[in-house]
Amino acid sequence: MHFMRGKIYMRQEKIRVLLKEYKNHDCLVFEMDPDDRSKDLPINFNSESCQLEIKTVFSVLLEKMVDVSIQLEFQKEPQYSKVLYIDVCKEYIADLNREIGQIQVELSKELSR
Amino acid sequence: MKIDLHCHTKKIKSGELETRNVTPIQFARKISEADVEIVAITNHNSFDLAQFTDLSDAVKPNCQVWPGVEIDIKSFNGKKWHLIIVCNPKYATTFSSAINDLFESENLETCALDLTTVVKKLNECDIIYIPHFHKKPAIPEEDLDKLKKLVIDNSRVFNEPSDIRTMGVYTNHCFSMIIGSDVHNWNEYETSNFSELRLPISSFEQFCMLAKRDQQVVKTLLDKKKSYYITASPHPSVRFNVNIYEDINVIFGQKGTGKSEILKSINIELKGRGLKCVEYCGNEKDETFKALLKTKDMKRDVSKVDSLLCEDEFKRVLNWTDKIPTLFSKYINWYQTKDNNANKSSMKITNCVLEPQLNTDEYKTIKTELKHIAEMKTSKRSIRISKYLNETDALQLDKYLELLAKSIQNVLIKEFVSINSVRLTNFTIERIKKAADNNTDTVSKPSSTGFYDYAKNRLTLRHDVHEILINISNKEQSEKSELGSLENKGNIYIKSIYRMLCDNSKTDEFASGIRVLREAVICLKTIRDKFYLLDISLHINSLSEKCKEESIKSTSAFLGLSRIVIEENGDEYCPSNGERGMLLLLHKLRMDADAYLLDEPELGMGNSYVDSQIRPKLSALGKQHKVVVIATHNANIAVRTLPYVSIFRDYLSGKYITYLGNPFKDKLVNIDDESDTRNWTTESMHTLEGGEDAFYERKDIYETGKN
Repeated sequence: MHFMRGKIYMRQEKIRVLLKEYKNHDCLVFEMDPDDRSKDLPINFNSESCQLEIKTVFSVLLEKMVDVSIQLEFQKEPQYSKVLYIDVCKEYIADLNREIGQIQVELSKELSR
Repeated sequence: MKIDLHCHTKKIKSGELETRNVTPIQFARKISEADVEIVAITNHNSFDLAQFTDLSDAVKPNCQVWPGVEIDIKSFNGKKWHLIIVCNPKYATTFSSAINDLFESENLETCALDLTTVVKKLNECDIIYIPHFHKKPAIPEEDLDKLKKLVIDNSRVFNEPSDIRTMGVYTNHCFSMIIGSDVHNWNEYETSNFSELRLPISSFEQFCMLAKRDQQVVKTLLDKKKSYYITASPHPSVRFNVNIYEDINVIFGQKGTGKSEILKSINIELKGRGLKCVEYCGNEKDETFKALLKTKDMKRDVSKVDSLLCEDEFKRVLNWTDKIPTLFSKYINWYQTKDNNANKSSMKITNCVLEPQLNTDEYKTIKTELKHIAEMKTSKRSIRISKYLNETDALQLDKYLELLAKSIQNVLIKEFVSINSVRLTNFTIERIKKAADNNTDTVSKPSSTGFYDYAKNRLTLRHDVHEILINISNKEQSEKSELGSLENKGNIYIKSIYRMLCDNSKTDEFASGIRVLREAVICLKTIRDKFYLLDISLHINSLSEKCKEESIKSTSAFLGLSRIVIEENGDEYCPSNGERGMLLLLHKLRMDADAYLLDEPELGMGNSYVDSQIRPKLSALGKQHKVVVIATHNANIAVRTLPYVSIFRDYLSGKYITYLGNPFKDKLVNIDDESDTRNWTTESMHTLEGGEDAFYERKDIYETGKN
């Protein structure tokens, strides 16, 4: 129920964000449900639809934030070795977490109206 | 029409002058010179039947003579007062016998009779009573009350003052007053005081009828019974002039004689003279009643249901566009070029991210509050503070207002600083990054992933949509106005309902199509509940199309207006055809106007209702000097209101004829030929009662039923 949202005792959920190589493409995969791989949302850095994939991730993250407080946890596949993408994704996820934290407060206020 | 109901023709008491005696010849001459048309012979404590007969003959046919007497009455406190008694001339002989009986063994000079005895003796003769009122010897208050109780029909009791001015004053305060000559010297009779009747009458019965109808029988200087000289027109090619009075005016005649057209033409003329007119047409009561329930005069004002228009919210929602996330490639570019320039690497500000913008709602609220304080200070200047507060308290008030203003200002400044420091910080970061990038051919780190702006934009959308939905949900107010009352049902009202769109709403309540409005609400709810959807723009486009289709720009489009008829307990009521007429007519008669024009108001109503509810209201309006013009076939309205003017329309030998008259004169005169007269009673009976035979046969049948 929405009356629980916005309260500091909102349930916390960690979402693993995995950097991996998939079919020769560098992908950052948001594992939205750890028990259901079909709900994974990939961002393919080598694809022209990267922008749209980011937007899709944003949409799902926002939807999740309605019910739970989320925190992204960056990880890479053990065999993944491209330093450029590793360092960039670390920075990116750190920035994204900060913005998620900022919006969480405002989201709670809005939903409690 | 001059009337003299206190006239002496014989010296009776020793204190009276000889000049009180009059011969028939002198009587006739003086009555003619004075232009008196009705005179009552009221000698002290006696009535001379023979003299009465002689004098009556002497003045026929120009003047009526009524029999009467002025009696000394014994007061409750032992003193005497004078009572004038005037009798219906039809009972002159009976009256004469009664007077002789009363004074048989009395000394006419010194006697004083008991009031109860006098009234009981004379009442059978059809009498009117005129005590001296504020005129010596005057009736005491207690005896006046007693007289009214004995007489029962108080329209038969008049009061005679000492002079015309006193009469005028009391008449204008609704006392029944009449003054007579009380002639002492017949040589100077024509210089005496006389009353003038409001309406000409031709019999004792009509005088009593006039008195019963209208307490103010006599004219006074302040008499404002105004009339309007109107050109009436029953047909475009036919016009005639008629005086319409500030009282009841009735138009009657058979069907098809142009009564409705005459009424319409009178309406136009009165409006042209600047009178505020109210119309009622019995034939059109259904359409008129339906029009009463129309909502076109109701303003679609959302403040009636404590809602806001939300015009700004609608604008923002319909023009909403999504925010695009920061391209990931920008992060790649930044990382790839970050070490290209050592100087830039040391400028850590180029790695900074933007601060989230603070919400400005609080700032706007504080600013408004500061404005209120300033307005308060300005309006305080227009209050006479020194009248309500002493100097110390007045100074304290100024001090605290100033303190409040300063305190708000300080908070406002703090809020301003907070908001603008973030804004300036972000501005600085962006500008420095741009400058550094340009000068070093490098790319600074993106200030944000774009998620904050993306989400914030969605939240703002949700906020606006939620605001709109709050203001169009579950809001209803109503206003009640009295329509009238119905027997056994009590008061009936018209309820004007202001109600935001809901499940029970009907199409007629809205200027926009109800289907589109309902679909728009569904869109709004979807946008509010699923504000995070990737394809939210589709829903916004759908909403935008619906709003464009029906020109929806604010919550006022969702405000439904309706009117229903309800009973006292609030339940909706559907009046029958007849009840609609009753309610509508009562509603019209209650409206404030100068003139009321009614065409067959009796249609669809029972006679009992017309007589008990409608007729008294019409009479009341007449007494208030309102112009009431009624075209009717109903006897209760045409006859029992005792109209000031009756306009009778007849069709004879291929010609339409108009007659004017009233029940008091019992005459109707052809407006084109004064010699052509009809009897008011006969024509009324024929047109309104179906004829004399029908009228009396009904009377017989009713009386047979009683027996």
